[in-house]
Amino acid sequence: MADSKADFLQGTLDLIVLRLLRSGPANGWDITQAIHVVSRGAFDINYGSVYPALRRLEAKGFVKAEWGTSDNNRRARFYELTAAGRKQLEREREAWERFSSALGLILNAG
Amino acid sequence: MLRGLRVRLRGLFGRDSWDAELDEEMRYHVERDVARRVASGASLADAGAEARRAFGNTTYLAEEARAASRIAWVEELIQDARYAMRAFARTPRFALTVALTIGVGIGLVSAAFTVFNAYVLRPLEVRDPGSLFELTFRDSRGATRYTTWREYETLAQGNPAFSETFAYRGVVTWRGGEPMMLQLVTGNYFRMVGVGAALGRTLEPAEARPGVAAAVLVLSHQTWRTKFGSDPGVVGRRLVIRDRSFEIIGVAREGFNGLTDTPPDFWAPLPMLAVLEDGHDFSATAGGPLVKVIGRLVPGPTRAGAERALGAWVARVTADRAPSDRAAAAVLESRATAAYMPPSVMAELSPVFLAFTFVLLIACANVSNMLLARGMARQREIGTRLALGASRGRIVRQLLTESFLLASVAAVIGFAFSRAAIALGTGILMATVPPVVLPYVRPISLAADVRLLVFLVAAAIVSAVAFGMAPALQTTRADLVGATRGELIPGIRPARLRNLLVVGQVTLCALLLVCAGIFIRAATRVERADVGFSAAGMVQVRPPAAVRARVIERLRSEPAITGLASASQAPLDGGFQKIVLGAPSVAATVAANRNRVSPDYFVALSIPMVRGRTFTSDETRAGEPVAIVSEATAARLWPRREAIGASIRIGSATDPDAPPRVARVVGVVGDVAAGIVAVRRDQPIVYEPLALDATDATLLVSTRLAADVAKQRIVRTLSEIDPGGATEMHTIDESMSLQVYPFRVAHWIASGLGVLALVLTVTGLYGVLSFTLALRTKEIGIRVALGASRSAITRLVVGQGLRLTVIGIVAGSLLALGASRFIASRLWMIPAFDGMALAIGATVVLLAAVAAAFEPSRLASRVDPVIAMKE
Repeated sequence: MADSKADFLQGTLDLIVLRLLRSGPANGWDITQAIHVVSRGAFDINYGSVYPALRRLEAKGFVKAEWGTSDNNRRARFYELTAAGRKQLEREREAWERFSSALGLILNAG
Repeated sequence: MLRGLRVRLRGLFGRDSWDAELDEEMRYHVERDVARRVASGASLADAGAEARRAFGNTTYLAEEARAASRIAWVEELIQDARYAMRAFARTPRFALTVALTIGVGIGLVSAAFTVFNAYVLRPLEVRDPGSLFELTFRDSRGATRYTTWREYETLAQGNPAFSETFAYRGVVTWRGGEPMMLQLVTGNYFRMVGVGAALGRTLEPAEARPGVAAAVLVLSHQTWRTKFGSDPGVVGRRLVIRDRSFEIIGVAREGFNGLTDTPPDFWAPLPMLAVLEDGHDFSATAGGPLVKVIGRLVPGPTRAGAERALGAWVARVTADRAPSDRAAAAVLESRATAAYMPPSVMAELSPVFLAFTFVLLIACANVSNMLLARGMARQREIGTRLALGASRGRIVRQLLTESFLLASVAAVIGFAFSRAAIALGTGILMATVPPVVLPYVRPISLAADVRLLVFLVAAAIVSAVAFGMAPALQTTRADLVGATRGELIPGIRPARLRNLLVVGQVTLCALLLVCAGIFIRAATRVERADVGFSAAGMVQVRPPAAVRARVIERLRSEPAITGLASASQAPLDGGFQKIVLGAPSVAATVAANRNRVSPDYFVALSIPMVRGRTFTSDETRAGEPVAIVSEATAARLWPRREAIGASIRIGSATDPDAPPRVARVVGVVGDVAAGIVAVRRDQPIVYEPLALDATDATLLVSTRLAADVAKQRIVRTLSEIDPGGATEMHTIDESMSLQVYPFRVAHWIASGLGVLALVLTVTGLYGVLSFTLALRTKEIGIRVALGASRSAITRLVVGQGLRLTVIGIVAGSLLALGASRFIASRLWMIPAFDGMALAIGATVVLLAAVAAAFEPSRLASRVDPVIAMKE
């Protein structure tokens, strides 16, 4: 059980990170702040979890990373969506929509 | 994907910079968070603590990031391997013992595989060997039939399965007292197999046309080297074969020894057969000489498909033969390798390979037990790791990695061992093989190749699993609490597994030793067999038909020659013709052997004439219907009556429809072995008359000389009349050594395997007894303290060893009973039950077990209760 929950959370975090990177390259800090703001604090995760997620996505070829300069003039690692990542995001989004609409139909039936 | 792989590889190999980058990235995050919190009014200390809390466990996260970006199992493997290497470095003696034990086992199996590979698996070095097949016909009774020259010509012009074919035929000739194999081939032979000349040239198709064929020879490279001293000027020289001068036009490329079992010494055009042997006519409208055919299958159809297509085709082509000679089916045999071995023969031979595998299995059982013992010694370490959260699978993987590493080293040792074993084996064979066999033995390379490499890797993997899996599973089943406290708990299971392994070892060892005993006894029996006749100083020779009368005349005038006889089958050239006998006195027919002999045959071989007389020369010349029978035959057909004067029916064993000949018995002679050493002498034999100068007979020459001197003398006499003319020439002693030799080799191999198995089993048993003794020191101390005598303690330890041994011996003996029945069904000289071999094998194993138990039991009886209790 613990495993499947972790898998679920991990997969969700990966999806969120992909979605956030769609609007352009960002570093780890930017992404954590965006999660906080966009979900209005609903996702109570360790900020640090973003980093394994980023490395995971990088290993799968969905994002690529480059060292650049952050808005406060420090060296930071910037992540960018690859073409494969874009496709993956599209697939995941469709799957999620199918799932949620199916669930909606069942929950709202009769 | 490629990008992902690059990231993973960097994760694996660029580890330091990768770690540094991750570290910097995470630090940047935390610092930025601290800065934000300080900016919104927190104290620096609070902000730092808060930021770190919000970020999470850095070590854990870094580990997770690392796992995400690497090929985890490779990483773990490298880690395990490093760990194993450290463990081996701590216990080098243990590692070496394991590698040597398994190495010997792998080495034996690899040596057997090397030979098998050389003959059966390695393709010949010719063009596209996989498509070459020998074609034979089967008649309606399933007997093999060969192709006539006329049929071959039709085949060569067009057929449904072969793109190209060549015909060949072998002729034996003599040069300096040694047989030379001449292979007569059609002109396309060398081009078809894609073999060129090392010197000069090979045959041209134009040189091999019937009627205009040239008297030319191509030497094999091997013959050029061994018989012509690698003479570079050999091309153009002339060689006389059977009174006919041939010009040597070239030497075939090195390593080419033809496509057939017997390696040819030289090749010549097929039509030369007509000048070398009488009675062959290539221009005749009737079939012409019989030839053998090898063809190259067109790509596409399967072998079975090609056999069907050719079967229908040959049935049409042979339609004008006599009904019983017509082909009913075509059979194709691969000529891709040095020896053709159909799956059925491979299945028959598999027990031999199994015997080699048994030694490896015994070695694996030994090592399994060593690993079990070591696993118990490491229980504290393993228990601690399990308690710290390592998964059982992870530790099993790590233990198996150790096994694989050990097995890889063992494979290297095994390779060296197999090379040494092969060198020793070929050395012994070359030193002991009867010289008469050598010309028929195909020289073959036993060099290592990629197939051997694959085999070694596979053997290493299989043995690593065989010896490593059970101990790995067993060791990780440790009781956590006890193990961390450092308690060694023997438990029920490891003891049971240990005992099972020892029993298994003893079983296989007893099986191998009993089988070795069976072969040793069979070899002795064959060597000492009384064949029922005496052939000291006798030479058998087959002169060409044309000069036979002159040869007989010349031999008669030699003072050293005491007698001449002839026989359609020489006394020890393999089984006689099988027939069925009938007589009015018995209801059913009796299976018997038949030979045709000249009147002096019995005197020449000192076969006693029990009753009656031998044939007269009138009877042999006229082919009178008379017969001489062996005593056993007389006893079977006329148990209580006189055989002389009785009439018998001699019928074909293969064709029940053929009418039997009727003959009158004129003599009864002593029983002899029917063509094969050590075959039961009470098999019925019937002799029919044959003229001394019959053209299809073997001449038996009795001399008062030593056999090899006699042979040289006869070679000289013959070469004066017809150089190289004899098709056969050897002493009867040579025939005998030829038949005995395979048994000698079988018994050497069986004994070698048996001794190795015994050594491994004894060391295994010793190891297990010593180890359990170490576990039971405390218990034995208590026993001694309570008053057990030294002899009682000795009995305790020896008893443990003997109990396991006896179970193993019983199981092994039962298996050996089955094995000997199997061998007996294949080899007639092996009895289905050999009680002596069984008893000896069991006794040897038992004595060895007692010897193995001696040292541990001595140690056990000296256990000092005071010291034992303190430990």
